[in-house]
Amino acid sequence: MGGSQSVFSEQELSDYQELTYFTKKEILHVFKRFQTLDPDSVERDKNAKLNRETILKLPELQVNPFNDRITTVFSSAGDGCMTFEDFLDMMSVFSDNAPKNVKVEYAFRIYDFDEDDVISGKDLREVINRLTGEQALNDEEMEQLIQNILEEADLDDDDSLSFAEFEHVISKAPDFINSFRIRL
Amino acid sequence: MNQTKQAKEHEDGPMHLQKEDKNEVEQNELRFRRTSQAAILAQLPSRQTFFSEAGFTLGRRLSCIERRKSHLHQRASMTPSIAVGMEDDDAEEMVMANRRVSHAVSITDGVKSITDQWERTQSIKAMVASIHTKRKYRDEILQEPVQRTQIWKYQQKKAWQNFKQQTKNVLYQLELWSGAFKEIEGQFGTSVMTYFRFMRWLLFLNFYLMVVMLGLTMVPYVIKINRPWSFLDSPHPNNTGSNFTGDDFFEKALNCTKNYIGFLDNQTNSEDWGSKALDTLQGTGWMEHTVLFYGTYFNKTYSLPLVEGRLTYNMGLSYLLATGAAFLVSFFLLVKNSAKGVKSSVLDEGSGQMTQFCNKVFGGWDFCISNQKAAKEKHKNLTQELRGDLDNQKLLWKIENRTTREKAKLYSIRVVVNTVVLGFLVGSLYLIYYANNKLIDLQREFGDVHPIVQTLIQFMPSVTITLLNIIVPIIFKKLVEFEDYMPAFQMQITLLRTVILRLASLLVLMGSLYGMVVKDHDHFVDDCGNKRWQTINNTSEAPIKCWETYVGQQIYKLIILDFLVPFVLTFIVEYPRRLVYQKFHERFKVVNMMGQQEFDLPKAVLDLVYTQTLCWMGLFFCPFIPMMSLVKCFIFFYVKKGTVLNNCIQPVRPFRTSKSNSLFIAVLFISFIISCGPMTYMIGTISPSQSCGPFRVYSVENFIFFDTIRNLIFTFPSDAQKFFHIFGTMAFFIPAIGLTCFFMYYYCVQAVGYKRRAKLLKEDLIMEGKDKQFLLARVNEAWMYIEG
Repeated sequence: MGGSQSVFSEQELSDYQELTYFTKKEILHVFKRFQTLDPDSVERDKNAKLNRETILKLPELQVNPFNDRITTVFSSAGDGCMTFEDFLDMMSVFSDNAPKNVKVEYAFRIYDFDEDDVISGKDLREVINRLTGEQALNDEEMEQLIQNILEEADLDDDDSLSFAEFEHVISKAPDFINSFRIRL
Repeated sequence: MNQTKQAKEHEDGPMHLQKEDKNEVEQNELRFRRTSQAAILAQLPSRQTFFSEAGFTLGRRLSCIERRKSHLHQRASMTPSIAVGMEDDDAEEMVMANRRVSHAVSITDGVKSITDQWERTQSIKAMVASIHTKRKYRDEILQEPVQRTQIWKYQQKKAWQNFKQQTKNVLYQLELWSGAFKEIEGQFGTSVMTYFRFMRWLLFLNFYLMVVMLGLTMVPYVIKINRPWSFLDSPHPNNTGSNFTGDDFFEKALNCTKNYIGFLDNQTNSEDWGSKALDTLQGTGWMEHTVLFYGTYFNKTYSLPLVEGRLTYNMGLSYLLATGAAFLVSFFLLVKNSAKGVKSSVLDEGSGQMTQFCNKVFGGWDFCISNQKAAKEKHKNLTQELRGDLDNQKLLWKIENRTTREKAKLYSIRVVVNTVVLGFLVGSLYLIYYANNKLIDLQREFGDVHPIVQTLIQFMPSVTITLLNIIVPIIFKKLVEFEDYMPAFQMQITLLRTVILRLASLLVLMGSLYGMVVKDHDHFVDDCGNKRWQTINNTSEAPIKCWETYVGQQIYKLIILDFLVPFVLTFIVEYPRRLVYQKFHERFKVVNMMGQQEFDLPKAVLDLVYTQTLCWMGLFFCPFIPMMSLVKCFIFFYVKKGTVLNNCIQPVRPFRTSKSNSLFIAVLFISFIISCGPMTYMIGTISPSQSCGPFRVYSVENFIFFDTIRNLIFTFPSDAQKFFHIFGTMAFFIPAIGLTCFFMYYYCVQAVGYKRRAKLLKEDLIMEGKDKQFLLARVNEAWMYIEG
């Protein structure tokens, strides 16, 4: 604990505290986890850019079916490499203190696989396939499920979910806020 | 390429189009429409705010600040700059370009004073952007020149914010068991976590109860300042000026106490070590006169060295007030916890729309899971759940198409099953009542048998209750399958039936105790406030010389059993079951069919609720019960954690986290209200025993517990007395009840109005969406026309 404290100056720590949803202790804890991913590079430069495979060594991300989307969305360079700031950003959004609207926006970006700012039927299909893993649903069930989702959420009948519709339906989904978090 | 192909088709004329070409044309049109649509949509004001770096919500907030200014701003940028007949790539580039140019309101709008500046920097936190972007904006805000007015307001707010941060930092370290929670969450997800969180909440509740009860009753009792050790040594109250009957009651109490203590000493002196050990389990014998039970407490009169005269610590009053405070604290904490649940459940069912599929798909994956094995399980469970829901939907469709004959058959089956369930409930209750009464007869028959057999006989009612609580819910689970309900409803109704069983069994126990203690008996002399003071006719039924301690002992026995049985069961059943499964499940099919232990969440929660109900019911008679519950919660946490992590697999149909928490609290609340009932009845109608306890000195002939408070009020000045008297009259109660009903009705009506409004707004939203589609289609037609 003492070691990582000397890495950041007091000013930097209070900066981070102001810009994220973490307290100073939590920020240091996040840094410790970041360091364990690749101790050598982080020793040399605390803002080292770790590539995607290294980031995905984190146990919580390793088993997550959306891990590639998460790294893409949160990486500032857009290619999946993350610096410590990106990592802190990610953990901050996934923490308990992040407000619901922030989580909803990021969730929308994560679930939008083709990045066309709507969650189309294709995106939904990809999400469901990732969720079910090895035991995939057959075509008929998949169709039924997609139809149900669009029926519940798509208000303007354009066969895709815009952000407003997504936010509207998530506000009525009580499990979202409980499951969309990672505790370090 | 798009254009040339379309030009070619127009040359040929529509008549010559082959079917494939027609499809291809349609596809092209669709693609064209989509890209041009995307280009238009990117210019919509709502999209602009979304794509601004400030994010959707912040952008929305900012644009509300100065609407007029932003209106002018956006009107200038609304001229459609889409080139007609553009290619796919161009359209995409256009979308990207529009995305980068932020037409939303600048982030420094409306920042005038230093307080505004500070507030705006705080709202940066809610931006959906990277730290880098947030930092940029924050610096931008801080660079704006502002008036330094009202600095004190800004400093106040800042200080308050810092204070909140500091307390959060400190509290975070004090959180109990957070490491263990993370472990369980990683492997099992949030639905099992709610059970452990509930356990932790109960632990803290018991801690507060313990502090209140023990602080007000035991601590003053054991303070060593020249206190009298036993009631028999208490000095007489001064009888100067008081009525003569006061002394009478004191004498009576003294005599009764002497008799009782003599009786107890007789019993305990003739006991050997073995019996003494058994007494620990039962709470009789030497334990009866310890601080554990109600019996030993009495009004202490101290003579402090420097104070003239004597001080009396009114133990009776403090006892009553401690019980009242304990119930109030429980009530307050329960309401606070259930308020959270009510809020979210109102949101859930507010608009009356079910979003179960979206909920499962978008909120289904628990991001907390960090274990490979658990992740596989979760995938499997999710698939099963989704399949189950889809099947449910098909079932619902089927139900709608049920013929009348099928319905009639189903309803008659349901009526039969409900009658059977009711029969089981009544049967179990009668069994408990019978066991209680048989206890007396058995005691008579086996009066002089080995003490261990005697102990077993003593435990018979408690064992009956515990056994019934284990066996009957299994029967309920099997019965409910005949009723053909939806699976979620099946779980709820089984839970409801089991809760009724548990609470009813406790009530029956209370009822039979009441029968023993308050009714007149033929074989007994009624004296000293106890109906079973002494035996006539030389029966070998034991007299009860202090009925409050007797009731306390029964509850104490229940609690001991409640602790031992699950503890032993865990080690006897669950660990071996896992070992057997691991070793034999490949060889023996039977073992494989039995499967692994599933964590039965409703049953585990009911166990916790049962313990807490026992705690509330026994508070009055045995002030140490909250501490025993506390110890039980603490030990059981580790036991359950061990068994869950090692022996159990994830439940196949997990409970929905949000709904389950509010369900648990609701069940706990019902138990709380039910345990208040006997207590209030007792305080209001029954006479305390004169041989033990802090109420042994009566002040009137038919003294009841509540008279202590009445006497206290009589010592107040007469105006205060009048004020308290109003509470007892009808003139207070009827308007109070009327007013409460009125407010409840008002809030209910308001809630109905909000629901309706939400529905209307949603319809508006749908209509707006349809309008947008219509207009986009028209614009597209216009283009195509220009194009063609």
